[in-house]
Amino acid sequence: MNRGDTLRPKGEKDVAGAATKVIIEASRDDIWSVLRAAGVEPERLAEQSRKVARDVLARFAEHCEETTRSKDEENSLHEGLGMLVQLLRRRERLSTQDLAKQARVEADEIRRIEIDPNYSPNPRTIYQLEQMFNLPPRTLVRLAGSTTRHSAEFTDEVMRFAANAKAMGSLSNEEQKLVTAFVRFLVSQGDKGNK
Amino acid sequence: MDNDTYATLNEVRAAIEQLSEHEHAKLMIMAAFWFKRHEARLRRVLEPRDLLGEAFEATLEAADDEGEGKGRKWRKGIGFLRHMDQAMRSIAWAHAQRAKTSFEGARELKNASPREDRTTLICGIEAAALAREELAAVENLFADDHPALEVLRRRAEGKEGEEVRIDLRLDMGEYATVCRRIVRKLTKHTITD
Repeated sequence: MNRGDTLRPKGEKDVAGAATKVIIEASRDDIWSVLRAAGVEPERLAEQSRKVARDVLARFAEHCEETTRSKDEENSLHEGLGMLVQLLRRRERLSTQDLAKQARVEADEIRRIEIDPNYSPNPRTIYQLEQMFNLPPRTLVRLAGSTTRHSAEFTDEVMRFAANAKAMGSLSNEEQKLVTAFVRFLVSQGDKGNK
Repeated sequence: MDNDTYATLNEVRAAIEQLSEHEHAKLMIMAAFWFKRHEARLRRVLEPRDLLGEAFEATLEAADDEGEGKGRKWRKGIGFLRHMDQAMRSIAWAHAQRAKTSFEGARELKNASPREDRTTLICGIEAAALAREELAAVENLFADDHPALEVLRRRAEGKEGEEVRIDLRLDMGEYATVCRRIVRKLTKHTITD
């Protein structure tokens, strides 16, 4: 919000603002001669501003990169969560509606968890699904939450799981093994964190 | 954010990266000018280049914002330097307000009804005090240069340069000379004093 513009009392002539307008409109030659007459090197003054601009742009780019990396990591975790929930559901031979009914959650939310990596699930839904699938506490929370920073290895393992999992029909033996191994991995990460 | 009215992040980045040498010099002069206006309150917490840095950051942040109201948006209709000027002024005000302990404010607050919104009252009192100080400082600077003061007063009314020149019956050379005096005085007072 541009707060300062609203702070000046109405009716006050903006003489100070008029002064800076004149500076903005001045030619390069006028600025350069005025600065030199005042004993200031114009190039050096300009370089100070350039340096400020460079530093700000660099910091901002770093901040954007970090934000993008966090979002990418979160999306990877959510993708893993979606795939795991889908496979666990299929292992139990449940439709989305059946799972929703048994876990006492919204069917729409289960659908979104399974297909939308941008979706941040309701913590209660995650808890209910853990109960429903008889998983150790926080197995799914680790994939759903965005507040905990995970190691690169953890995120890699999640992405590997999501890439290997298939989404068609009932679970094959291979998919069963994949799900079991992944759940074991998630539990082991939890155990590590508790030590 | 309305991209037709406000600059996008790429447009802001481009504007910063494409600033010319003399535009950079002007930004430093303006930063020093706004710093000087509130120097007593600002000098312990920042320098002129900090005002400039904050203005750059706030403009980038606002362009990157997803409607959360952060930063200071650059409206496309006004030039980038003008936007930065307003941003630095606004930021200097904000810092000065935070630093200010207004004796006038405390006295007026004592007389205020308990039902009045004290926060709004404090902001209003401090804003008025800062505005009075700003006006007085600039008018004092040009107290001995009546034509310059007249140019500034008319520009302050929202008139553009050509309109002011005609108002004051100056030819183009005379008007340019007055403007150069304004720039010289402001720059000398701001950068070197």
